[in-house]
Amino acid sequence: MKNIDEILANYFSGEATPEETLAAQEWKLLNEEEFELLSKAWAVADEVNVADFPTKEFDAKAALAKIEDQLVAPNQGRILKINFYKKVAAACAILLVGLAGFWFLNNRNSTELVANNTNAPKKIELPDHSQVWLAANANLTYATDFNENRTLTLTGEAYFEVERDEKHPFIVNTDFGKVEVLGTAFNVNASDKSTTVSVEHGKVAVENKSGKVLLTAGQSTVATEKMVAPVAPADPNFNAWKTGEFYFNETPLNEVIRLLNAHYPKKIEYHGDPNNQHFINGTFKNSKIEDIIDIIVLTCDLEAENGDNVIRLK
Amino acid sequence: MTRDAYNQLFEESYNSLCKYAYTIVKDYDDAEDIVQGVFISFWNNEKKEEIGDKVKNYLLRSVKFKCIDLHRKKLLHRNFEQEVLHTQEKIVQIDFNEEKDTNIKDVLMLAISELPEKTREVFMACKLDGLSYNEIASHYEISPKTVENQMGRAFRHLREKLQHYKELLIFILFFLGE
Repeated sequence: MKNIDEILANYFSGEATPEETLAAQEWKLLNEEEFELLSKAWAVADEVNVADFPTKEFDAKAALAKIEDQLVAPNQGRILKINFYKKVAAACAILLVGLAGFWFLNNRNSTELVANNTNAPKKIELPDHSQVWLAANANLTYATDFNENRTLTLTGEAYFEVERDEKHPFIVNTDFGKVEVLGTAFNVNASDKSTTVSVEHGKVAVENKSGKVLLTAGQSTVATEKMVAPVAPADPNFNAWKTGEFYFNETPLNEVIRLLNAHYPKKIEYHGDPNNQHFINGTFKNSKIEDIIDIIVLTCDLEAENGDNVIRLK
Repeated sequence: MTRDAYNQLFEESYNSLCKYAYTIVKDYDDAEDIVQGVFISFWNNEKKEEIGDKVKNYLLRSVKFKCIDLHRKKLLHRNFEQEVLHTQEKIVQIDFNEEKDTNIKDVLMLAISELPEKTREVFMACKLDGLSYNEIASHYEISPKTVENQMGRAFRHLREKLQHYKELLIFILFFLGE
């Protein structure tokens, strides 16, 4: 007697004998749901191509070893285990580096640091009259001979309006690549994982050791340690933190909160049921935060508790 | 989840998830990068315990979304290079429709990609080329009985996978309106 899998295979491929057809139909009655899934899968198999499938095996053990150091220990974040002597050594090394850095800066005396320690965007003007909006907690360093050498280092997020000067390329360095421009307006978000660049107008090159892309108005890319992502349309809210103009289109509430918190000094916190998914629609241009919150509260059926520095949503 | 359990899950699922990823991205390195990325963020996700016994569904789904994401980026990039910017939107939309949920085709692709190569060849010859068992037998110089065995194996494997991801599929059947 053939097994049921062979009978089913014969039945579906039209190779079944009359007895096998009967057996398959009997099986169908007893396993209705499974039969239904199987016939759907069999029908969908028409869309499959032979070339779709890999012809090699993948080595799980080697892959696991490769990602090992990216796996964070449970519930403790990335903790460096250092024994006492190593701690002493590390402290000495930090002190040395600190002293060396101090000496270096003091002697060269040629680096400017601009930091935004407030919780709202801050506008500054560079020596070449380019305008920079620094997002909260972002900072920039550049050399004092900036007009000759228009190179900056950025951590955090900033929006640039660059003064055109073809002789002196304007370069923003981040941990994950450099951004080069002639004259244009663009946004750089240099986080600790990646650097996102979005262009308002003009032309920008984003480059790191893995690649280079050219961006024009309305385009965006992300640079990480491994790659520079292909060009994609820029997020409509890419510089909302600076302009105070928000375009929400089925935007999840947590994303809305993140965007609003980047612009308004008053912080919003969500304390409602994390399983409730809320989506926001609408355009807000330089509205008062309280007005936006009123609308969110109404559309999502939430309550707002307005404190001095915080608004709590429930 | 303990590290041992995680390692075991990794070793059980890595090969087949990579094979599945390959069916979308058609590149061995991209497939491995995607699956490794999914496993890394799974382990580093504080809420991983909440996924519970749906972990295989979660992994398959995450791999699929990452693959489509990469595929879409590649398409956009290629279009941009060819300066056919007006076709961008169309391609994005096609992918977007596919993105809605893990469906029967995903499980089918997973199942077929896990088959031994010979079994897969026989299955595809029967299904796609519409060859009879006898024709397949003479083409591959094997007996018709062997063709039947291979087909039976392919079906057993497919049934196992469908059973495995049943929860996910029943849900979809329901939504397809039957």
